[in-house]
Amino acid sequence: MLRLALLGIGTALPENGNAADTSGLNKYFAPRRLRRVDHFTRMTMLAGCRALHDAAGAKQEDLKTPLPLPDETGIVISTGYGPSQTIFEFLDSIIDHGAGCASPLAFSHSVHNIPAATMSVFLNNPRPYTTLCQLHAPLLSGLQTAACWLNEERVKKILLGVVDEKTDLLETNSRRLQEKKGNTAAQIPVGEGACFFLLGPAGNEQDSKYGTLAFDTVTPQELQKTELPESTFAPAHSLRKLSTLKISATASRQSDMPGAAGAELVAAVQSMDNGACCIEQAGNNFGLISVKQQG
Amino acid sequence: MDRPVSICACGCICAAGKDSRSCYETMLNGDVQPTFAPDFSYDQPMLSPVFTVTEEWRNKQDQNPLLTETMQLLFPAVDEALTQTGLTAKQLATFKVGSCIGTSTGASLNFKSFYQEWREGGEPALEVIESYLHCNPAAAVAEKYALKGPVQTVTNACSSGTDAVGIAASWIRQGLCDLVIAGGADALSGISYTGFSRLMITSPEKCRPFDKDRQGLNLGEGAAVLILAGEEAMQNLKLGSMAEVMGYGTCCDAHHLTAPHPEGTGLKQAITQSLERSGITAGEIGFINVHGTGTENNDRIEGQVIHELFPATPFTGTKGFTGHTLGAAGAIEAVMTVMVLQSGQLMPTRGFHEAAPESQAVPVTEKTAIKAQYALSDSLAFGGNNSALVFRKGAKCSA
Repeated sequence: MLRLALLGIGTALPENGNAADTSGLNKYFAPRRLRRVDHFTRMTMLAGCRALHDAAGAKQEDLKTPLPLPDETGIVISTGYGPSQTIFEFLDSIIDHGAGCASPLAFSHSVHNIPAATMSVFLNNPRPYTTLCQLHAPLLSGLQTAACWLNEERVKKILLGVVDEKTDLLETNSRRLQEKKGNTAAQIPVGEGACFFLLGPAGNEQDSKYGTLAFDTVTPQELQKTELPESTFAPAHSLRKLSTLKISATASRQSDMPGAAGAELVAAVQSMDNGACCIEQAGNNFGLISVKQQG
Repeated sequence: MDRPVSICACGCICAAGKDSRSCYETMLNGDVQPTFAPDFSYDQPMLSPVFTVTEEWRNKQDQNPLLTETMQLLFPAVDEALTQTGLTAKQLATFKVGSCIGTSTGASLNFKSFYQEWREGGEPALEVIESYLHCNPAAAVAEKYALKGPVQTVTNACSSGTDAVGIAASWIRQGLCDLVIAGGADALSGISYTGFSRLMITSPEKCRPFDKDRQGLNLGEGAAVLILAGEEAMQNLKLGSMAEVMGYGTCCDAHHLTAPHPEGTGLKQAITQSLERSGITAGEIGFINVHGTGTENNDRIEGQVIHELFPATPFTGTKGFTGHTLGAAGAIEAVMTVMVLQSGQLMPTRGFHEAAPESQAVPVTEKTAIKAQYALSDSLAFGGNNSALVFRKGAKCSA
């Protein structure tokens, strides 16, 4: 069981299933500086900045307000597909203009670690960062790296973000793959968004209004034996699987994305139920992430 | 200080050879020529040659259309390493084994034909998407070998392989698992070929790392893994240690998305961290396996930093044998670093002839006998990321 202090939360999640509104980022950085920043990275930066402010108990009044970035903060970003739209924009440029005139800017922005790099540049934060790209338990995996880096004192804090972007192609493919499987039930709509968590080493909880995250990988049998709280959250796409194990959980968002557990962890924290938890599928096993509030 | 983590086996496949031993032998005694393989250039004539695995090797592999090209490279590298350990599937199942793989193209949505057909209103066959979904490198390794430990696909561009090994070593130290298959893999892709060409950093001829006349990089493909093991697993399985992962350092420049910091601040920080976390000084490093892509920027900045921190330490760059294999590069270089520590012979920097007048960084140009206890391997990446690993010679070494 690994533990981390949860110091702040920030999200950039859409209302009503639309695209996430990232216009709030213009309060943090001048629009001129943001003109080449893609939507995936904007969601990343907005949620990250909100997590910093949440931890500091501060508000971004205007562009002159300094960002409350703690000393020695590393960045870990976990995503299912990475910045997909920028990859498609590069493909568009090859198809429309030929390989000899394809956009080098679109290519460089399509690389998976560019959102973390852009955030480091904007925060002026020359510290360790890493990006994970996988459908296998992106939240749990990000938490594991955050815990390792904090326990090894590589950094004092970690901004961990789970980020996914909705694209037309992803929506089409999701629908077609379900149809190919013969799944005629109503599908969970594809979602997007970014959820960030400012984390410190366990024992750092005095700085936190949220307490501790305790997390582990458990087998289905172990999960069945665990006494789960009333406030048990899980991504909508996992509810059916959990139900076959006779485990009751709630999805706070009725949309699907690889990192959906990020939003469910936010819901668990905001439930204010001491011991609330979030379950994320990890291959044949599950990540069980519990929120232990102070007091 | 980071507790050393044992390396008990390794595997490698790239243009230099079909396994770790043949890659190392080629680098010591042979040469590799990149080729103009027309598949990678779409509608343009190829302007830069690429380093590919041999057709002969490729034709001998099981043709599984469900596997991405990256996984067709990675699985044989993992098989080689597992064969070296002598572990059976039954033995593996009794341990918690993690999978930590760095990649770039291997996790990218690089399906141009599919995308183009869809964009034009068609319904392209879904096999390419299903293949992508089933071939996330770390997850696919975990699934194939029925592993029960943590799973991470690290996508930090060209430092991914180095970062994956560094992260995997942390898992062992922190008790997240007993063993880890750690490394990197990337197949050549027309998308990245076009991208690097359009950034004007590819060389029209074979790359020349650190040379005054260098013109850029050549892309390559490959995969490499190390099997890391905790003390208990090493004892229970009676494994020998080829080498140890000592300190890992990583730091971004926070300066520019595609160019290194002019002073190499992030790289210096990463290397300094890796030394401090190993509990050694720069003077104790016996040799360095550098990133050395052959681009103007990389080699100038990396050369400055290496000369400043290690003015008298021999260093070599292996991309004249492999090309730049992106997410696999750090892993291939880690495996080769371990083999040099084991055998005591450092490979020359193929492609280098003469240093630029302003450069004081001169790599090794001939096969060189070397007696080293510690070695360093470093990587620089897009996004200004820099990472470094220190390795220590293990008990199973001949030199």
